[in-house]
Amino acid sequence: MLIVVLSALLALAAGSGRLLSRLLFAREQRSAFVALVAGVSALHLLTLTGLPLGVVLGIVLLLAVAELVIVVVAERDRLRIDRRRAAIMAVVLAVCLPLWTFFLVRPLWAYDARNTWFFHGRIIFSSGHFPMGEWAKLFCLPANKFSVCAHPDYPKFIGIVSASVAYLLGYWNEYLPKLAIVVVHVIELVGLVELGWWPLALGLTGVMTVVPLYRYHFDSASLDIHVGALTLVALLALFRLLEARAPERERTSPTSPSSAGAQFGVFALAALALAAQLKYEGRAIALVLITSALLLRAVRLADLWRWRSALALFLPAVVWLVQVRLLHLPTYFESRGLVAVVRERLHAEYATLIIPYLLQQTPMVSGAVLFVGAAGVALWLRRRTVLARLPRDPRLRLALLTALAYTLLLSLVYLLSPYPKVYDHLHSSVDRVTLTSQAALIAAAVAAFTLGTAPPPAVAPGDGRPSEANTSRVDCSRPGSNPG
Amino acid sequence: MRSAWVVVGAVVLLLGAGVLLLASRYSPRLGRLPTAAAARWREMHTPSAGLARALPPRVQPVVSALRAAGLERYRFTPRMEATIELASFIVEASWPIQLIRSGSDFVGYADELASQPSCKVLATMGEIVLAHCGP
Repeated sequence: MLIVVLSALLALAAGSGRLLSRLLFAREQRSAFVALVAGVSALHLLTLTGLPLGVVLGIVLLLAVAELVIVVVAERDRLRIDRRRAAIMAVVLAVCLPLWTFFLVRPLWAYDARNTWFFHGRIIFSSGHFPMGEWAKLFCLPANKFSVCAHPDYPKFIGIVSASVAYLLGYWNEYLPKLAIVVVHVIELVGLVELGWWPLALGLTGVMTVVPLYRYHFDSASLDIHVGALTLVALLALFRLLEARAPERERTSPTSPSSAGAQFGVFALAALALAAQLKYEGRAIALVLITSALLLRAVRLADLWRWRSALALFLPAVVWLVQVRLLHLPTYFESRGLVAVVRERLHAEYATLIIPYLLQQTPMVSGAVLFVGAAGVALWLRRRTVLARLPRDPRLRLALLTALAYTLLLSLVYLLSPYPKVYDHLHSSVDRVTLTSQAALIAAAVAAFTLGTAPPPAVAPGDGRPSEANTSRVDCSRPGSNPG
Repeated sequence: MRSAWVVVGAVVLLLGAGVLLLASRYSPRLGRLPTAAAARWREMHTPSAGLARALPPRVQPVVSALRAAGLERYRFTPRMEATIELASFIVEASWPIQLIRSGSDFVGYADELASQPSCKVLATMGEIVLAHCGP
């Protein structure tokens, strides 16, 4: 039953998302990862409207069936299964099995997961629909101090997916709704495999299985580890975009830089959209990463306009933000004079201690060691080519600026903490929230390690667009590559 | 080539089965593993299962007491409010019984409620009590 429900949910998301991708994106911008994100975003958005869960899942099923009909009737001749990628994906998923088993056989035990996102899932499942009036009843005690609080304003993505799992099963218990976390993990892995980074997918899964710190964060159904993984996917997609847009002398065929690698821009935005639906920090990293890319001119405003369809994937996060305002739900910074708090705390010892405290966390230290080590190995192996490129590599600059900006943003958030004692807040969450900064440092390590080894981008002739004959599948694993 | 993979797969399976058999023969805990795994698998597919394992030991009796008393809402005493983790688990596990800001049914520590003449203790769960206070 467990496997049936997981497969059914993924198939529904992939099928409905594929149909939505047809409507939203040009053919070369589509991928399995984008389809999965579009599918789960549709499920999220439809549930937020307040429709009964059965109706929402029925609509998603109809979309998936429509896509299946289109594929079978109209595209049967062009349908090709990439056996190599399917085999790689099968191996990656097989490697995940011990971690998932470890995760699923233990009932939902972690404080945050129980009291926030899975609690919301139970409320949605018990109500049979998204209960607008119910969230306002989950007030916080004592007022505005966030001590006893079920965070009614918290993003509802995991709650909605876990309620959908329970709906498909027909009951709620403390085990199987956790499949919502597995669904997110599968989407991240599909993203890494499609980008060609399957060794990284294997490595990260291995680390999550073996290293106690990461196993703890996965097992506790924490969402920060997934926001981190999605940040990594987004950064690696942007790396592919930058490789596809490398100067003309480094490319093998003439391509308009403005259109090259459009699929990677959409890919990165899809990863950030899913992160933004998961939790507040996901919205923060989306903002930080897009701003960093714009500042470094890795992405231009015109690009965002060209990829505006991908912004539709952010719609569930925006809709929930509006609903929080309309329902007057207590929010993180509720009724606090932010400027007064900052002024007061800047004069206190916090200002000088928060950043050093963030920097000494295990994820930050290990991320920095990984980056320095990767750069050192690259210098040792390919000194002549790497030495000159290391300081001005756009991928490296993007990843490092993202890590720096996000860490600074985190320190600001702690400075504005609604908790009366900032150190309590720091101690309770700092090791998990820095996982996203670590993801950016891992991306920096990848950029440093691959300096001087990346093959010249193989962009197809003719404005970077795939030829009509071979466009049923986009190979995201090669920069700017087209099917064929 | 394919047959080679079949042979390799079969060897790995046989070796795995052998290791499991030997381990179950010589380790009593591992011997119980298949039975325990089957029981957990059944529990995973049982409606409402897992709550007793998931909750801290002090929470489950409070939730049971709230349900047994047939209450629809309750409030915390100030000290219980300050016991953040315990109070949060009670709020979540006892839902749809609702925590409210003001009311006459209290969940709190015995020394806060039992000594008050206006309070009648409905249930005692160790140091925590459920009490009705007021007329």
